[in-house]
Amino acid sequence: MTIKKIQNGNEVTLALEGWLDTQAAPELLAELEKTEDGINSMVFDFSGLEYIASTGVRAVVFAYKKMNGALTVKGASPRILNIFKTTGIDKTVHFE
Amino acid sequence: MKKKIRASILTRIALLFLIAMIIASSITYFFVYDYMIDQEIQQGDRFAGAAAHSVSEMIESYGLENIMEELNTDEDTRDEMHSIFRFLCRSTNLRYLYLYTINEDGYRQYIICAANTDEDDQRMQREYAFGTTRTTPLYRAEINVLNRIKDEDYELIDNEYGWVCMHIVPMLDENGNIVAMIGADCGMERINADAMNDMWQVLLSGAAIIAVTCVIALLLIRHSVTRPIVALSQRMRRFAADRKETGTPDKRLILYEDEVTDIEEIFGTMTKDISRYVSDIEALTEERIYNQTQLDVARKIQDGIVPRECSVTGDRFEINGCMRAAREVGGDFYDLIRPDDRRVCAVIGDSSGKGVSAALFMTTVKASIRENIMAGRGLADTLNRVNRELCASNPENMFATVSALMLDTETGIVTIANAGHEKPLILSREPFYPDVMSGVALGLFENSQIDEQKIVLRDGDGIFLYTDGVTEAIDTGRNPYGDERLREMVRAEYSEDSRSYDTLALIRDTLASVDAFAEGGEQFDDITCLALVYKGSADAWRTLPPELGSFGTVKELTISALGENDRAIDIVLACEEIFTNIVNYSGADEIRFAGRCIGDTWLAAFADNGTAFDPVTAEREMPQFEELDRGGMGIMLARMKSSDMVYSRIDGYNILTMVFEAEMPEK
Repeated sequence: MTIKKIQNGNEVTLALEGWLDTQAAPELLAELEKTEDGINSMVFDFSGLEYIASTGVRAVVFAYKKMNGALTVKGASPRILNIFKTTGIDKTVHFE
Repeated sequence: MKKKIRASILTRIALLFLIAMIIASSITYFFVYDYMIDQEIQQGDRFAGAAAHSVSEMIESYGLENIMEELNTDEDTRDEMHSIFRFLCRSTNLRYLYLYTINEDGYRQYIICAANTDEDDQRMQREYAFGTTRTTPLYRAEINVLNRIKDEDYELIDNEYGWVCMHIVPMLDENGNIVAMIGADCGMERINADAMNDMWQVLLSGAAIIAVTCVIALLLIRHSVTRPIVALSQRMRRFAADRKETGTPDKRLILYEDEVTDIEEIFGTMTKDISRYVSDIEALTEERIYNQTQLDVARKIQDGIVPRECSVTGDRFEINGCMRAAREVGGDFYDLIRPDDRRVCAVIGDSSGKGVSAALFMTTVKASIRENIMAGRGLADTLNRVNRELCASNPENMFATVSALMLDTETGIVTIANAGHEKPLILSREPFYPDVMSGVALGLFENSQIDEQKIVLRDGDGIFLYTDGVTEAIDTGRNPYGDERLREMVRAEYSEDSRSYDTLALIRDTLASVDAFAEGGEQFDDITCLALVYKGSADAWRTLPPELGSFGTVKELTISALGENDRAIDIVLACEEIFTNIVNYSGADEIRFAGRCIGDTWLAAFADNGTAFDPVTAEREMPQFEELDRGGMGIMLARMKSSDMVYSRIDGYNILTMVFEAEMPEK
């Protein structure tokens, strides 16, 4: 999995590509941990994401809490979107 | 018993009478004879005495001295006296009459001797002529008279002159000296003949009276005893032969009731009773034979419905079942059904009651179950339908406990449904009774619900089903065989070489073990058991190091088999969630994985020796959003992405098999 980080003022966009599996999740969590102060909005770009495991979903929730809800997920494939729907996260997190 | 001589009672009584008569007559004869003889002697003596006294008086009338003088000297006087003597002899019927003296030497010296008959008289004339002296000793009577012991005396004498009663009368002179003696002999032959004649008259008349009495007694006995007894014995014989005796005695005149009439009456009642009992017993026997025949036929039919031993084997399984009824027919049953090539269904059951009713009910239950299974219905569905069918028409309130299992021979997944039956026993290295949901026995409540559950078997594992005839068999001390003994017995059958069980040996050894336990006691309940072993599908199990990085193997295997598509990725997701869970939480140091296609279906199986954890029942509720970052949704995801997920804990291993159909049903 690769993570592209684009910072734009107080908003940061993380573009994930490949498989966000159990092994890759800690990498994402580490990236989220080191988010600089002052960032108060986050966008996940999942258009290149092929796979997400439950640990990945947990990372998204973690990010949501960290941004105090200022999180947008965009470009998720129907399959990945389905997982978020299944877990009920789509009701809280904003998907585009 | 030795055959005895046959003689009728009447004959024997008559014989006894005869013998008694003879003995009585003989005794009478001896006693009466002596008495009669005595009487006759006395009579003879009286005759003789009378004659002697006549002679004595006659002589005295002549003057004793004169006549003695004349007799000694004058032959004419002697002839005249002899004539008188003969006349007296004849008129008094004496045999001899004689006059004699005893001389100085003590010998008899005869003066006149006369006899009754001419022959005797001539002999007397020759041998006892006047003056003849006889030196023969004097008789007792003569001595008695001579010695004046008695005035006159008599004596019975038997010598060459005959058998006579001699009477001696002395002739005395004025001085009382004995001058001569008169002897009068009365012939005893005649006296005896008379005596005999008299005696015979007495005896014969007595005998005649006794005989008549006897005959009357015999007639009476014959009428009231022997004839009725003979008739009774004939009736008894007839009764013994054909039991057709009516019990009515022969017609006869009955004046008094007695023992015989009692016997007749009792016999009459008895024959009627016995006849009734016999006809009852005959009817019962006939019925029993009929019933036995029916039961034999029923048994043959049941042998067809529930074979005593039955075996079904396939490439991936082996089942052996057996049933041994306690009576001709029983309520236990088992059935091996193949609804299709892939699945095999094993059913075991025990209907309430025993014997024919149980067998009849069992047949319905078994047929119904088979029909539903063959129609493609699931186990729980089948049992619930059968339950409703039974409840709809069950006048005797019969019920049946049933345990059914369906083995998917491709996956090793076993569906189990239990309606109040004994717990199944899992056949593994360490056999155990799994927690199986048990519904109510079939036929009891229309709205009862039976559920099914699934377990997964490893290669070589199996399931053992049995009826209470096994676990509730009792020994002589009335201890039950029990679940634990069964488990121990089964455990000893495990083969380390094949890592499995020989199902045929298992069921046979189970019966033998129960028999040995009961120690030859009568089997009181049907015994049925059924052993199933899953031989497996030769899955290629891979061992994965217990670390997250090992999951790549699973992913590659799945993608390479199914291609990189949405379905394959969903399968990988489900597998990853499970694998992650094992690695992170179970503490397993051995994890194995097998994945393969069965037609369009993908099968993924994990086995680990970690802490027991059943992902099928765990985490049924999705956590709240706020807690999602702490996990708790992985197992849910895995469950959602798989069509079916079956878990077993066997021999310290968590066994999880996930099925992924080509078309995922909506969840």
